[in-house]
Amino acid sequence: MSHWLWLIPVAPLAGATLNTVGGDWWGSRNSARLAVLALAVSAAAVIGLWLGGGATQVLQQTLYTWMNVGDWQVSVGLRVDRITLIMLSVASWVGFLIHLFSYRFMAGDYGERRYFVYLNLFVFGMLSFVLADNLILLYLGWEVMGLCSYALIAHWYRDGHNAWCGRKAFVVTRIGDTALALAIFLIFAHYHTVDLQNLFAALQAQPADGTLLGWIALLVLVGAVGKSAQLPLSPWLPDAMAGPSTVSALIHAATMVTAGVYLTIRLHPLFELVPAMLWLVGLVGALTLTFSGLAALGQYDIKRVIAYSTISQIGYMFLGVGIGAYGLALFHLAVHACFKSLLFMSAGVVIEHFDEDHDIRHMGGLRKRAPYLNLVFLAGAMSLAAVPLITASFYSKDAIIEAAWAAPQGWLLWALAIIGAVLTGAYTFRLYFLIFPGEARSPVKDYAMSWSMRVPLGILAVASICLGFVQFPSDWPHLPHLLLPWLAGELGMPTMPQGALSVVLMLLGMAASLTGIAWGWRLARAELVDRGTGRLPALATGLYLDKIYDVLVVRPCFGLARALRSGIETAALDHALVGSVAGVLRLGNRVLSLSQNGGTARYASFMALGAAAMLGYLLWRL
Amino acid sequence: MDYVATLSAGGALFLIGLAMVLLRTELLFVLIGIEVMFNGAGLTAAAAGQYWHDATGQVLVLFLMTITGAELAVTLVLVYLAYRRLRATSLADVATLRDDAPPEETAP
Amino acid sequence: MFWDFIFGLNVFFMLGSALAALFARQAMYGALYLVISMISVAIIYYLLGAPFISVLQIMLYVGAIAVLLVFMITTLHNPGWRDRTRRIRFLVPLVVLTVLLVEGVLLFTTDVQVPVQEIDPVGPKVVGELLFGRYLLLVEATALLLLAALTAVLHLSRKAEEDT
Repeated sequence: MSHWLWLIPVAPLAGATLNTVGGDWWGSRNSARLAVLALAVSAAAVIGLWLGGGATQVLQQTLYTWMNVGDWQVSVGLRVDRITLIMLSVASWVGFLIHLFSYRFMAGDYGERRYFVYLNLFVFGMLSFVLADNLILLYLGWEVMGLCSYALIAHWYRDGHNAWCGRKAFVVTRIGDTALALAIFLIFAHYHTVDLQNLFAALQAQPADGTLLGWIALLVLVGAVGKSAQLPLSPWLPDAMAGPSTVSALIHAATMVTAGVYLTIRLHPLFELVPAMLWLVGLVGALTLTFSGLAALGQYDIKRVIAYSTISQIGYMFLGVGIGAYGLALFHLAVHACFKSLLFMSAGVVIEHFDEDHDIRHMGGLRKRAPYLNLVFLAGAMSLAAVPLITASFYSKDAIIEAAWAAPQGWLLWALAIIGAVLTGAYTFRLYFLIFPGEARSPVKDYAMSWSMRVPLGILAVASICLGFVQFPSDWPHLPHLLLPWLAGELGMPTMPQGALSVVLMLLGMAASLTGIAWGWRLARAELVDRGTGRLPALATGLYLDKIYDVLVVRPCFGLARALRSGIETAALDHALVGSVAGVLRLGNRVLSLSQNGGTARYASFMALGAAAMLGYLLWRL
Repeated sequence: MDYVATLSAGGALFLIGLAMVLLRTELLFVLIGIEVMFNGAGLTAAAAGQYWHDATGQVLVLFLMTITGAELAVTLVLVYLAYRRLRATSLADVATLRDDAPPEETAP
Repeated sequence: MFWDFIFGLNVFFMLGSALAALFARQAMYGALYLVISMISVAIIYYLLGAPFISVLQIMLYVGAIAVLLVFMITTLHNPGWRDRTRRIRFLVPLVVLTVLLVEGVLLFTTDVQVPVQEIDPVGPKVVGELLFGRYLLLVEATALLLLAALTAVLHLSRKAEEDT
């Protein structure tokens, strides 16, 4: 099976390339079919990977040597261990379902072929990022994802605002990308290797230099924060909703935003050597999840609510990493991918039902008009809010919240996480109750979903419910505990509170989510009489984060650019430098032309003068 | 044999030829002046060659003569053409390539 | 002593006729003065001990080049040297010539040290050996040059005939 590892990332790359080259020839519908087929190949290959021994052993395939200069040995190598296997499954299977959904959802769009090219290219980026066995190939996948994210967010580029949103996403994630690049340079400078396994061996062998490792870890954290839209680099994600809903489902639910989480998990040996940095990861996650939970309460745009929700849930994953519960973070990553992409795709259909209107105050009454949509959306919403016992997120997210208690300074993290759970329930069901029950507040269009749209939603809805059943809490007897022990070989088991404390914490978690749901119902009712949380400007603008950045960063940058342009470029370069050169040349021309009177005798005199000068010089010298 | 005298005679001849080229305005006189310059140069070359007992000086003079012949043929045809086309027998009449007019102001 | 006298006489004729050509009024006079100068140069060549180029000087310069010049002079109607007022435009050339003269004098009085020697004639045979040996390529190149000049003259004169 390790000989076929290359098929997993190469299939979508081939799909993208073929569609770029020949898509004009075979039309956009066939491009869509080719794209879906490419993902199907990848997904099937991952299934083959599970069956072919990937679950029990580490598989490795080196394709070729990319660069080889002294210590700088970079090869295109793929390595599958259990962490990678989970990420691959999420990316390729959820990716395939999203491609299948887009097949009908994006039909007739003016950029359909371009959409599928970038979507395939994006999945290639994600898969190579996950499969990489060295930091440079990892960075390649990282960058490809950034590029495709920009292209896909700005998909409907004919509206200038969409292009601006794409640029904003690109610029903000770029900050993280630069930090990650610096971290890679630092790592290479000190450990002389970019191969991950060699790096981990070197980290074990050499004595730890606290400051250096702290800096590297901090830079990696900044990179992860940028890609995963955590504080302080979160503003790009809510604006990234300018892209199609399926793009949000793939990029901002299942794959790119989880790349930061995967990065920290993959580099956890590095973080474990600087426990303060690891705790910082957890703190970032905890702060982000409460901040974005609050912001989600103030949004009227359906996709922005879900966007803030994504930021919040990724915060839970960062929290899981920060407290050392890597397995739980991965668990929640997989579960989140299912229900969040489900919510995004359903949101896309909801928007279609209301004729491109995103405002939830104008929605309502969809339960009777679209019962299937209601069902799947409810499944996703319940999973997001972590309804006890029957949803997958209960088993993943609540486990993280419980484990937070056992961490150093755990009470703070736990408190933030519990508040976040209440907020999650609140904004989720505020959203649900405003859209589906009751009477329609604006005309509802008919939008029939084809089978290629219903099946992915259905599968994801079932997964949102049932995926949790692979890992019940460790102290519940006679039930499957499959995931954490399986990952324990690479990630260790998380430290959980024991005994009565554990029961108390679990009951508190259940109470939190139920409280949140009830509060959400009340908020929905308050919105309808215009007394809801959406009015509060602090919440609606995401706690003024965009405005803060505008004043602190954006305006000074533009001011500096303007000053440079008028000062240096116009004054100095244009007038002084270029102008003076041109002036000198013109003057020279005028002066020299005076000697050209056409008289041959004069020209001959000049020649003779030259000869006289030369002779004089020789005389003087000799 | 006084080579210094020969060399200085050759140099003087060259100067006289140069004076003819610079000071006379008629085309044919310029050509005659060029011929005189060639003679002067040839005399110097021959004297130098004879001083070193090397036949190279004579070879140089021979080449000078050949080249002079070629050059004169072409130049005379040009003089004839100038006479026919431009009615010009003087250097002042063939100053059509002059460029010393003040340049027109280009757009600001 | 006798040969010195001959030599001095020839130098006098050479320079004198060149000066006369400088101040000649008509082109035909100038050409004839040129011929006298060239013959003097040929005799000086012989006195230097280079008989080969002495004869060639007569043959080529006087016999071909000067004849060509005379031919062209008779074809063109030269109105002659009109009495022009001396204008300031003679200043620069005169200055340059004076400078060159002074430099030449300085050069020959200070730097040139050439001891007096006996004449050692270098005959045609030696020249021939050089021409056919070391400078063969140059001879061929010169032939090519003559061919080019021939072609140019033919072409240019053909266009001239079309005018008449």
